[in-house]
Amino acid sequence: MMEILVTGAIMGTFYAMLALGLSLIFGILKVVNFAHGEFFMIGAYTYAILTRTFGVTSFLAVLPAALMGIAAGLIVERLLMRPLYQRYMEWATLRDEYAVIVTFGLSLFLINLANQVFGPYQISGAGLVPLRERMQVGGVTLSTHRVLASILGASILLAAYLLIKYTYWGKAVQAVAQNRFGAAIAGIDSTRVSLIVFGISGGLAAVAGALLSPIFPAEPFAGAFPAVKSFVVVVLGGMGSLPGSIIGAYLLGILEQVGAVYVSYTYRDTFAFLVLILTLLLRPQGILGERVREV
Amino acid sequence: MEYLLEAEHITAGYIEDVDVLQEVSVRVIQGSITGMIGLNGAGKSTFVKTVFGFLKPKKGRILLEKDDITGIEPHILIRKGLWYLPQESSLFPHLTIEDNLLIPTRVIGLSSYEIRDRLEHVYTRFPELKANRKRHAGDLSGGQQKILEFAKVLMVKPRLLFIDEPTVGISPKIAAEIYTMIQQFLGEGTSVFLIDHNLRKLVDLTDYVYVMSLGRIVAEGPSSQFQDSLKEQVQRWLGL
Ligand SMILES: Nc1ncnc2c1ncn2[C@@H]1O[C@H](COP(=O)(O)OP(=O)(O)O)[C@@H](O)[C@H]1O
Ligand SMILES: [Mg+2]
Repeated sequence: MMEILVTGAIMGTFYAMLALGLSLIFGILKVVNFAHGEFFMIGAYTYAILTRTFGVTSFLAVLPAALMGIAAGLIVERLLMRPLYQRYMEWATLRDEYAVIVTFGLSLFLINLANQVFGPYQISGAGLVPLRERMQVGGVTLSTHRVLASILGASILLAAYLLIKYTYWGKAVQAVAQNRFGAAIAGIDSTRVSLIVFGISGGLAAVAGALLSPIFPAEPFAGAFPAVKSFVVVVLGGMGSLPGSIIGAYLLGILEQVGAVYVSYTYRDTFAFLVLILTLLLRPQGILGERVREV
Repeated sequence: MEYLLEAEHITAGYIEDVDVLQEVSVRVIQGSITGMIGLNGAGKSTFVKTVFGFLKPKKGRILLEKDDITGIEPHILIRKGLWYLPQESSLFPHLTIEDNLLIPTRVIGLSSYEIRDRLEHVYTRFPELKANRKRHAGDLSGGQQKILEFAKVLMVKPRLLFIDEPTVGISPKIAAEIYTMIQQFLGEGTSVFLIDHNLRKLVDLTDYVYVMSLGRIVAEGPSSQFQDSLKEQVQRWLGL
């Protein structure tokens, strides 16, 4: 039982890193970013190539991976998202198809780009420590890399969360999500808020991709599964609710583990869909869904 | 006479070929309360949204003390001393009351001493806001939320305040408090542009009134002119 909890929580941390960003973007733009998994992929490639090809020390390679993710987020916001909210009043009559098509197209573009540049091969990143190393956590034997990676990931996640919760710009992000109109009147520059959100989201996803790349190697489709899971998490937690997406992430991580152990290891990736279907049937607003717009 | 704001021949709308406002010219005199009345859908709120930069006028220009502010984005305008209490809520329901009060002060360049001073002042004036300051704004009753919106004005102390239908759906007691506050704003150097359905109240409170119908100004004049036979005059302007 302990093993299930710990292993589940480790995966949950990475789901949370993806879901938090997805949820932030949804919160301010009411847009589902279908290219979110590709931020993850960019982090995975950056880290894997730096550690494998260039022999960069693992811990140091996390930073450039984060920076690449942040840069990707900023570029996507600047080039593709800005037309969405350029003039405020057009916002009211915004066509959602635009966002769906644009982010979906971007996702395909990035996957194909990776395929062209790196080929369809897998490149696995080096572990933070040699991958064979094991350690004991609560009487469970685990890969030391996984434990360290999830601690590092959780720390970054916590930092991002506190930033959003307590700083002026974090509150500005929440304000835009809760009342875009009121935010403009209160002097908040929603363009900058949008950039901040895409930067944070890209960075978090890329770090998750980097830290998981020793286990799930970088390849063109590396982001597909994590992205789907984070969509499930966001629905499970309640669209746009940040606490909800974090709780949802850990819940999914643990549920998958329960499924893998007690039902079938082979089908572990399908439990996410089961969770999605059950959530939509039983509680479509998600765990913290009544406060949909809370960030 | 010193005009604080001049909107000249504003034509604007939400979509390409429909001009909700047509050649609207409005002036606000420094140190006065200017009013606007008109039927639902006349374009009053659209006018304020245009002044505040939410809509870009197709024609015309807007001057704030001779400074052309046409098309400047709303978040920039508040630095120039404009503020807007819209018909809909401008609060952040899941942020605390204190955050709602503090966020707007960030961009207008106040020292932390001034901010603390104004916050103290607001809390002294509205003890119920102080008591609830760590609670979410959305947890307040409708009337209390309106009070909070007005308390935000005391934090920013704008030169010109636009107020759109402040008493719709508000209890008479809080409405009375709101009207008192509007008059007090004037004493503190804030000129006011007020849209209100309560004709009698509006005429009593304002110095000058504009009547809007179907996106045009159909009548205007000093409020004293409308004191008598208000109802008949208004019905005539609005073509009722
Ligand atoms: N966001 C919007 N998009 C399109 N049309 C709008 C929008 N808001 C208001 N309108 C239209 O503009 C006209 C004027 O509305 P408004 O300015 O709200 O009137 P008032 O405030 O005088 O009641 C109405 O016909 C209304 O339907
Ligand atoms: Mg209106």
